Order: sequence, then C-alpha cells, then structure tokens
Amino acid sequence: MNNTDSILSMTKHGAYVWPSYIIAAVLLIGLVVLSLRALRKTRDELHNIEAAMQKESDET
Amino acid sequence: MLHYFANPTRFQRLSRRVEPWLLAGMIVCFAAGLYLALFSSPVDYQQGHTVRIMYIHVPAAWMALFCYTAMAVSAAVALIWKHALADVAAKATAPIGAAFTFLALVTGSLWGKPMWGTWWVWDARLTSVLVLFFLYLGYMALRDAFDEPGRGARASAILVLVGFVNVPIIKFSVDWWNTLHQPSSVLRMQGPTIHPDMLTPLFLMAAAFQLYYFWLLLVRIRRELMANRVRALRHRQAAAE
Repeated sequence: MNNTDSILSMTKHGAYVWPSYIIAAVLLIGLVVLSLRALRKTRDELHNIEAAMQKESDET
Repeated sequence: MLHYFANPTRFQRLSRRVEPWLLAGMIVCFAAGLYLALFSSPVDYQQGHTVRIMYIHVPAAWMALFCYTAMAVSAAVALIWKHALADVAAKATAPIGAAFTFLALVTGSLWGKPMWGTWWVWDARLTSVLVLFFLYLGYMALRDAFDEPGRGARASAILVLVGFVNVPIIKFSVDWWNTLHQPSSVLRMQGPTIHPDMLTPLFLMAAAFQLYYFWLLLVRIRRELMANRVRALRHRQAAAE
C-alpha cells in the first residue's frame, strides 16, 4: 500500500476490516475502563469502612 | 509456591510489582502488532485485505479457549483444594474470556461475509464457539444467582468443568466434521502454513492479547480481594451492632 487512500479503503474490503479493529478496540478498552472503575470504587469503599472502624475503636 | 502467593496481602504486593511490566509489554506488542497487521503485512493473493481480520480473529479465538481452560483449572483447584485465590481467578477470568469469545464470533462473521458469502453458518466450529460464549455467560449468571457466595462458586465451578468438554470439540471440530471453516494453519504438527511476513504480526497480536489477559486478570483479582474484604468487614460491623 503506497497511499493513504488505499490504506483507509483497503479496496472493497475496508468495510469488513475496519469494523473488526474498531469493535476489538471498543470491547477491550471498555473492559479495562469498567474493571479500573470497579477497582477504584471498591478501594474507596474499603478505605471508608476501615476509616470508620478505626474512628470507632479510637472513640472506645 | 502456589500456597505462598495464595496469601491475599502477599499476592497484592506481587501483583502491583508485576502489573507495570505486563502493561508495558502489552503496549509494545499492540503497537508493533497493529502497525505490521494494518500497514506492513502483505495482502493475501486470494483474500485481499480481508486477511487483516486474521490478526484480530485468530488471537481472539485462541484466547477464548485459553481463558476457558484457565477457568476450568482454577475451578478444579478451588473445588478440590478449597483454594480461595483460584476461585477468585476463575471469577475474574470469565468476563475477559467472554469478551474474547464475542470478539472471535463477530470478527469471524465479518471475515465470513466477503469470503464465504454469508455472515453465519451452523457448522461445527461456529456453533461450538457460540456454545462456549453461552458457557461463559452461564457461568457468570449462575455465580451471582445465589444469596450465599460459596454455593454460587461451587455450582458455577461444576458448570465450568462439565462445559470443558466443549474445548477439544472446538479445537478438533474442523478435523472431525466437514465445515466451512478452514483447518488449523498455525498450531499443527507439520508446522504453520502461513508466510513469516504474516506470522510475525499474528504472533505479536497473540502476545499482546495474552499480556492484556494477564494484566487485566491481576487488576480484577485485586478488585475481587478488596470486595471480599469489604464483605467481611461489613459482616463484622453487622455482628457487632
């Protein structure tokens, strides 16, 4: 492939090739985003509970 | 060795040390693999540019089988030796395996239309991979269907082990039955039938997918261990009140 046009269109096959790569990117990046968001949420939850328990034990 | 890292605190310490290396390796493999796959690898003399779908489809299909095998081994270890970390690993693997299986099905369909003239056929390979996708979904649904997490873990581990029979069926379906799907052209006794110019991006993308799996697995296991600790602390708080 020597020019940008042929890279993008891949003759008549671009309509099948590009969606494959776009779906892969959306799926794999989406799963990473969801996993990292869940990790952050659970970590915050854990810190809050541990802080509350620490406060409770300091008071008693 | 396995028992040494089964300790959640030790595991999390090791995991945090390994994750950046896996992430860096994954980014390098994806960058090189995508460049070669999309811009540098040759066009197939029969398939034209559609051969580029192979660099996503084949590694995704390999990972679909690999993840299920990893899940089955983890489920067996959890059932037999009551290994808590193995159970967490099986749970953390399921969505990643389901994503790879879905990707293999969709990209296979996108490859099938221009090459076979159809999006889908109910042949042995395609149908058995669809069954694999439903096994992943079934595992995740069954795991969350019980009030008591331990019962959900046991029931879903048994489902994974029973469903493992589908893995050799998928692998050998192209040899046992007449299918539209082509036979193995990389993992075969006589060696690959693909040109090295195409094998290099294929293996780079496979390495990227493998590193993606291990990196995300560690992230998801860390999250599960934290969630278990949250549940335990909530239990303790409730018992104290």
